[in-house]
Amino acid sequence: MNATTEIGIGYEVTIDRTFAAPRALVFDCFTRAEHLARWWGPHHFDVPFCESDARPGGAIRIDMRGPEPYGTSPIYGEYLEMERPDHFSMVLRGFQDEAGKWGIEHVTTFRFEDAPGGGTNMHMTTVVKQASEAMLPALRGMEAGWTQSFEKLETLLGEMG
Amino acid sequence: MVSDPLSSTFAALADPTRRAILARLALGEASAGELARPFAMSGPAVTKHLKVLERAGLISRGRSAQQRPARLEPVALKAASEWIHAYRRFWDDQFEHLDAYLNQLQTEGARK
Repeated sequence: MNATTEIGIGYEVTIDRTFAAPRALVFDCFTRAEHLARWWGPHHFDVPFCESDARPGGAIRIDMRGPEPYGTSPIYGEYLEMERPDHFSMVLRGFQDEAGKWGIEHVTTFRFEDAPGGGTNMHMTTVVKQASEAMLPALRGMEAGWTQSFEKLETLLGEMG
Repeated sequence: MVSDPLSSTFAALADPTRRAILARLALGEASAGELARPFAMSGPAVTKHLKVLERAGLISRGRSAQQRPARLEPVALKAASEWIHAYRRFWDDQFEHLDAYLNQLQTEGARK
């Protein structure tokens, strides 16, 4: 089950996280369009269009709209499993190039458990099926916002110390 | 079907035996025979895995006629590792947003 292999790279990417909200609500935030559209996407991105048919075989589409030079990237997919509020899995594809090839394709499973104190533990597992180098700059760009906020925090902490 | 260099790297890494072979090669080069021993595998089976790893650019194989020692090629691994790192950050970022959104939803809910 361990994602990290001996050589320091996990083919499976796993992320564990606890959310301070009840399980059914967290689950719905992942699977219902009206919720997804409000939180999906990196910093400074919004979602002008979102569809989610939350049942096995149901389609997902999320348009992520970023500032220039990103434009709008539609993400497409299907749900494979759907067991509210316990787990679901989906295949997502995105960042299609001119030749119609996907920049990314991954199968992701989310599991949710009640956490003590009314929160929810999430366990995410992704298996990457397709990955293109062309997508790296996009991912890195998305990362920039994140890094910047860390830098701000560091500066602030430095000033306080 | 899988033509992207990164995709073939990920496909090669999908197999636990191949990851174990890479882990062994991280300690230094080894021949197919040396690699077969700890895995209780036939020579041809190991050779098959080595071919997949070689095609994915994860290893190279020496020219010395009989042995053809395999050695780790860090560049492909680094590309895959960078990709995973950026990908993980992407999700972490997403979950920060969900945190904030859940907080907002529950504050709104409590107010009603």
